Amino acid sequence: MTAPPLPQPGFHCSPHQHSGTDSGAMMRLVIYFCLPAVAVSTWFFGIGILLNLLLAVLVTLALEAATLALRRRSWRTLLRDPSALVSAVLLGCVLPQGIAWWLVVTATFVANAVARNCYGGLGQNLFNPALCGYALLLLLFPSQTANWQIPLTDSSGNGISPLSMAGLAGSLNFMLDTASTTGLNTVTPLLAQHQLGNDSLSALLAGGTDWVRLLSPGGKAGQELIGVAYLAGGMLLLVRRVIGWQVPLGVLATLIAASLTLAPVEGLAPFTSVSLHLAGTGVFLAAFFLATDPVTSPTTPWSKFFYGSIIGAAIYSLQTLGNSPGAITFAVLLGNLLTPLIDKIAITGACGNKGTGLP
Amino acid sequence: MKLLFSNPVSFAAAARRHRGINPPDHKQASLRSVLMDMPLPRLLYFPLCLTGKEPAYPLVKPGYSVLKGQLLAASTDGNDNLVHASTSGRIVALASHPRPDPFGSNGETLILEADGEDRWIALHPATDWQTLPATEIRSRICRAGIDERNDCGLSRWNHARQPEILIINALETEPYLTADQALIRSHAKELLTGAGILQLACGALRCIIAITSEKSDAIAALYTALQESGQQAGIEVMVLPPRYPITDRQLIDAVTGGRVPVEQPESERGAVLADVTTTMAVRDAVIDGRPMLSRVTTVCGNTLRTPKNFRALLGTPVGFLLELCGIDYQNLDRLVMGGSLTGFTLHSFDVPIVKSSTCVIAAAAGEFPAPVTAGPCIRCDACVPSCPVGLLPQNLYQAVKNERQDLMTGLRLDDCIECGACAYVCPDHIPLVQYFRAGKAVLSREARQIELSEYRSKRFEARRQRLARDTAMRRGSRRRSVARPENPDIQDSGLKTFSRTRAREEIAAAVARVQQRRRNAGKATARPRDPDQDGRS
Repeated sequence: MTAPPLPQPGFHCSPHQHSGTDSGAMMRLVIYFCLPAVAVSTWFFGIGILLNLLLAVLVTLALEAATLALRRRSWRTLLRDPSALVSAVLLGCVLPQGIAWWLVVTATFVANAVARNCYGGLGQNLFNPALCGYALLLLLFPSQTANWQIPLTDSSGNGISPLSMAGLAGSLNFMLDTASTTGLNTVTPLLAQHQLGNDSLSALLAGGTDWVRLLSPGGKAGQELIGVAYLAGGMLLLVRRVIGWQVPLGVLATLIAASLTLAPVEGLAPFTSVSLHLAGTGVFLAAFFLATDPVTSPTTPWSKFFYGSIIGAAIYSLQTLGNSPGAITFAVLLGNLLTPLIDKIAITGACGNKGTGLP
Repeated sequence: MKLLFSNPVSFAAAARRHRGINPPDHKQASLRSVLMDMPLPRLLYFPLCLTGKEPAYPLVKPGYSVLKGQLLAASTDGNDNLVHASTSGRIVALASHPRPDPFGSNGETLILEADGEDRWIALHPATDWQTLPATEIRSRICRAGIDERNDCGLSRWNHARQPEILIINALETEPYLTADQALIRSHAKELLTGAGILQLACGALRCIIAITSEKSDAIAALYTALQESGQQAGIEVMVLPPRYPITDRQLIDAVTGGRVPVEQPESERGAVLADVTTTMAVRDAVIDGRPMLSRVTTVCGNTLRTPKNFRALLGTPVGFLLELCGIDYQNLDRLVMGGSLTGFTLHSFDVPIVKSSTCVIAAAAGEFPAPVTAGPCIRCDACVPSCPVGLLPQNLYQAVKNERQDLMTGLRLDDCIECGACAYVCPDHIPLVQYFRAGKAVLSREARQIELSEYRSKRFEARRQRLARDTAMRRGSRRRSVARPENPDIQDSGLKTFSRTRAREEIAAAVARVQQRRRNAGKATARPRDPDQDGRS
């Protein structure tokens, strides 16, 4: 027997096989399934959406590289781990068209450097980083954050398309705060739909509306269609098993159930219809892309559903009773805040009191 | 005879109960050929110390000639870790040799040079095993050195409660393992005989052979064998959905239709488990009187031209089997003993086959993924449904990482069977099993520390009490003497009071006596003395 020496490639431990799933691939899927909504958003509101996205991504990459340098890690991690980019893309999705560039940078800084890396990087953050950045803007710069400035006329007052070169120039002007163009101020995707009611999906479905005007760039059907795009992307995430069904179901079921059962209550009158709550971008974006972030959501199936229900209930109450445009944002952040507690209770259920040290 | 195909509803229920994973099947390659006998290797190796067993002490020395089936070594009580010669020949050495364990270590090993004649010791076959008393069957099994794999296996025979069900575990859920399947395919009848013997020996009322549904040829063979031997009443076949892993607890749940509570050990469900290899060895031991000298081992992997199942003699070096299968050494990346999900890597081709060697995988480059740097846990929950025991691997991982021993015990780390399902599905490639092994080591070290410190504190306490008792006794006796000075006995014995002057006088007298004696002795021997020592002695 003339066997050559056995190759000794380090110490292998069982199991020697792996299913091949990879969290990086899953996060890339999240980014890909966001893109239809980004495309729809760009179609309706202009190239500024893409500019926001690009700026957020570039700033995130720079911050991530700086963090890796500070932590003395290899820069290759940047290529392998797209989790920071997911936050950047989600942040780009919620930021309004035409917002000033330094606000985008601030939000990205808060999202990446503060909410993510100061907590210890991927897997350690308590709150969803993208929503942290956005919540800061909502609190400190409410008027700039709530306004969508869509370039519909150029400096000489002629009508332009937001998608044309002139529209790009207009968006850039808004971002650089040299707004010589006049734009249309409209509402944010994550805003409560207080202002929406009129040209919303129900009106569209009822007929008698100018379809071409609604579906053309700058049209008012934008919010609904972006919401549908997020719903489609979320369904794809479900099908590919990137996310579980418990959280989205919890959010949507609670929201629908609350608006149906509380409809007859006096005083809530304008905000009771189900379509009003579901119309608009925010709910589907939150239910499928923001609340399902595994790091900031609970672990066992039932506790996930419970967490989703809390977010759904919070969205309903904040939208109907409160007056903040950030109802959905703060509802998800509330869910994040409660996650450790939900987890403790769930583990106590699974393993008895000894599992958590709870009495 | 009864074939227990569960109805669709309970099949689904069983599937739900059987959490775990569905790794891709690699069984076909080694199932293409039939079960093969192998030629004799020149040297056979018998390790004396194996993980988890009592060390065996050799009964032979280098230079001895031994016969096939002769006892070579045994543990001190003679009941555990019996080592038999698997062929006749000469013991050439008792030396340090690579042994099959995860650490790649060497151990004391008896090395046997085969003489090629394969001469047996005198055997005592029993043709009519039905008439043997249970005690005789048990003693035959004990003497055959049959390896008992699991806790609720044969070792619990002497349990106070008589078992109701004997379960023959033919599930073999690991993706590469086909040893049981190949054995049942060709020797179903012998398996039934072995099951009957075991049933008689342990007194179980029912016997169930549990097998997974993808082994259709083995199920068919069992079915035929059951029909042919019409007298085999009480033996049933239960088909379970193929999942990895199916733990003993889940198996008992599936067979008895109940749920074993976490607190209750499996053995108390009235079930005895035995695997296929054990059952076959029991048959040989009782009917032919032969000790366990060989086992069926799957030899597979992409570097082999013809992967197959061998009836491998114990002590055969792994390299010998690989050569028989046509190994391509250039392409070899990793040599694994045991399955692909629970096995360990080997660091030498000379590691021998032992009673627990189910499988040897000579993996080609790229067959098993290279280790990847683990990412941080993102709490994605993929591991939770994969755990067959129902633990929460990601929380356990955090507990081990943060060295929280209270959480480790609370989350039942000790129940982890290290099946590797959680690490298999982890999208961040975290080596969870390694973390859990480390955590268990911490816990057992801690338990040992606690045990030691309790022992020490007990001894300290005992010493303190003894000293206190002695002091009290001494004090008590003195006080008694002070309190009762009129006692004439004590006065007479001179213990009444302590007088410094009288003591000095007595000492001086004694020193003078000794000096006098030494002077006399010094005249006789004329040896110089240390004046210091004189005074002291």
